[in-house]
Amino acid sequence: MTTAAGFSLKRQLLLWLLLPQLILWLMGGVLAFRVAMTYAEKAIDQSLTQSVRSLARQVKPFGSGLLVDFPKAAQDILEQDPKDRVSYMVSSPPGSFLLGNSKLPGPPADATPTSSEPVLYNVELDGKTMRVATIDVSFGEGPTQQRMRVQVAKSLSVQESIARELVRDVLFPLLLLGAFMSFLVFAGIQRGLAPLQRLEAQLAHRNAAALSPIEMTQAPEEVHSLATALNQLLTTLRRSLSQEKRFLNDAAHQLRTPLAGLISQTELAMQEKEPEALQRRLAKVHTGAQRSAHLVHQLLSLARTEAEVALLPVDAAALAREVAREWTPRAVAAGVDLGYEGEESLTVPADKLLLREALSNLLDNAIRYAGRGTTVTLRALHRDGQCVLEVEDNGPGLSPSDLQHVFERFWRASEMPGGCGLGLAIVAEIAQRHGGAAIALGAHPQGLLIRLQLRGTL
Amino acid sequence: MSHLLIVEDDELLRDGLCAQLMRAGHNVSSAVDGAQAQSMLETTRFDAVILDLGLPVIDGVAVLKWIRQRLAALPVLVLTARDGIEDRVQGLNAGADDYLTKPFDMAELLARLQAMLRRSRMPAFGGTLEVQGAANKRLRLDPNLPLGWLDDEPMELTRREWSLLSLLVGNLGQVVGREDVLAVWQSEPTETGTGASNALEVYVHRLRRKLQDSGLSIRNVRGLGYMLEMDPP
Repeated sequence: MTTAAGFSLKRQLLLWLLLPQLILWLMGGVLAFRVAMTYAEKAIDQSLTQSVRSLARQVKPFGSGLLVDFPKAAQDILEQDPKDRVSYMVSSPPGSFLLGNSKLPGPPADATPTSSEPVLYNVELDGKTMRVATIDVSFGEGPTQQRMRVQVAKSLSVQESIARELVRDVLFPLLLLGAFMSFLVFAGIQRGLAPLQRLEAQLAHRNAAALSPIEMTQAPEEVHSLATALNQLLTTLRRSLSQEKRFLNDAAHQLRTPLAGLISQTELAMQEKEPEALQRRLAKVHTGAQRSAHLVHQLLSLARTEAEVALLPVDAAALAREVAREWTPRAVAAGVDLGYEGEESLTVPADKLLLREALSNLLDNAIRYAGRGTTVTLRALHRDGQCVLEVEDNGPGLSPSDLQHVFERFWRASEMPGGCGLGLAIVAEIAQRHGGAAIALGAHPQGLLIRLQLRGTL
Repeated sequence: MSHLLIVEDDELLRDGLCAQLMRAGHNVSSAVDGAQAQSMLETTRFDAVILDLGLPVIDGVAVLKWIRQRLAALPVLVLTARDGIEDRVQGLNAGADDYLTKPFDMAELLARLQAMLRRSRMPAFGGTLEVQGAANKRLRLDPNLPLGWLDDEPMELTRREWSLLSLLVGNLGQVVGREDVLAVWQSEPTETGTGASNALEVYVHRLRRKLQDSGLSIRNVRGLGYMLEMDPP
């Protein structure tokens, strides 16, 4: 298993759950500020519009001049707040100062103020942003008609302070809520990941010998299925380990016997004075050594059947003939008539090396035990969608009770030298690795037939 | 008599091999590791090398590659204790002519060695195929022309009879499959009056007659093919 540097499930969950909250909070702040600014501007515009209209009504034409009926009270209202200073200016014709407390610039060129609807715009005055409402009023009649401009302005700093206050009022509770939710998220993650930590605690400090299943009583579905999968793996591992241990044990014990024989024979040979007796001892030593060699070879093949197999298309019929040809000189020397019958070609998914080993073992077995003057036939057949490989001999055969044991490891039907009781066990193992089976039958009128059924022909 | 080099680090096995090969009539030298083998190969001419793959100092595969760079035609028989398919492929890829897995049958080793020496003395159809039957009768076949001699008496052989007999002699004591014979025949010009594949039996029958009293006989191996055997003395 690999761990990406810095990758933690908890950290990931925290990041992805808290990041949206932070974004929400920031967006909320920006939006609240903008909304507050809009509303504050509207409120200022409304009050300016009212003020400019009222002021315009107070300025009345008087003869050829103007009379400004500006009561002290009204003036006080206009100049009430020194911080939130309200400026006003009356000019006639528009632009030439008549009265007021400040010099205010005119509206933008593209806007034409009327007597009813004021034009509203921003100006910079003494480094401050001011909102200005302007109306133009006509007075006098006929050729003496003149225009008068009335302007009222208010600093926009008011608007900003209102907006800031509003945002503060909204964001502070949101911040508290966010902190509380973050705490909930963190607690939730802790709680959710706890079963994984328990699983880890169960698995840590285990060694190869401790392969008992993991106990998970309370766990969410996902962790449960993970634990179940792990338990299945542990069970398989336990089984294969115990098999291996048993095999190693068996192998060591089986090797002890021929080695003990060898040692006793060589000891005797060293004391032997007579050349002929020495010869006999040496012949026995040779047989014993050959038997050990054969046993080691078979043990290795058995170990190989337990490795991974790669099933590729193999012409089983051609392979069978090839193996039979290799065994022919041995068969001839043993006085056995070895032959092949069956398909010309028969392609099956198989591991060629293992299949060759199985066929070799079958022929070795038959040639070894059938005896001089017998007939051994290897067949590769296509039967009911299966590939059948079989070796039949007309030797002495086995009793029905013995037939049940032929595929057991280290089981031997006779004490004939050379055998180690693994050949047919290997054959059965190889058949299983190919998804098939090996069966032992009596032949007619006598003899032994070992059949390998492999699943799926191509 | 051939001069053989045995490279094997296990003393028991090296000693046994030397003794057996000397008894079989070879001139035998031995080396205990790769470095010694290389220095011997540099100074002496050998007919074949029997090489263990698991050697100390310089391992067998490295020695094999070294040999192939200098002495391309020298036959090498590899001995290995590992029998995994990868090891075999590695050995053969590195240039072994043949291999045997330990432990092996001495008779098997002698037969493989003999075959290897025979092949190396017959570079690509250069020499005659020759086999000594029982009763000291000698069968010789020309490698290119349908000619054969039994004890220096010319044999009457058709082209197909000659190619079948060549196959059998080249694989003395081993089974030659029907398909192998037919494949060889197919690559040759057709003989008048024949052509059917079941004629193989007819040819074998004719050859058997011609090999009478030669000490050699052709065995029919059921469903597998034919095998040339030396009659027991």
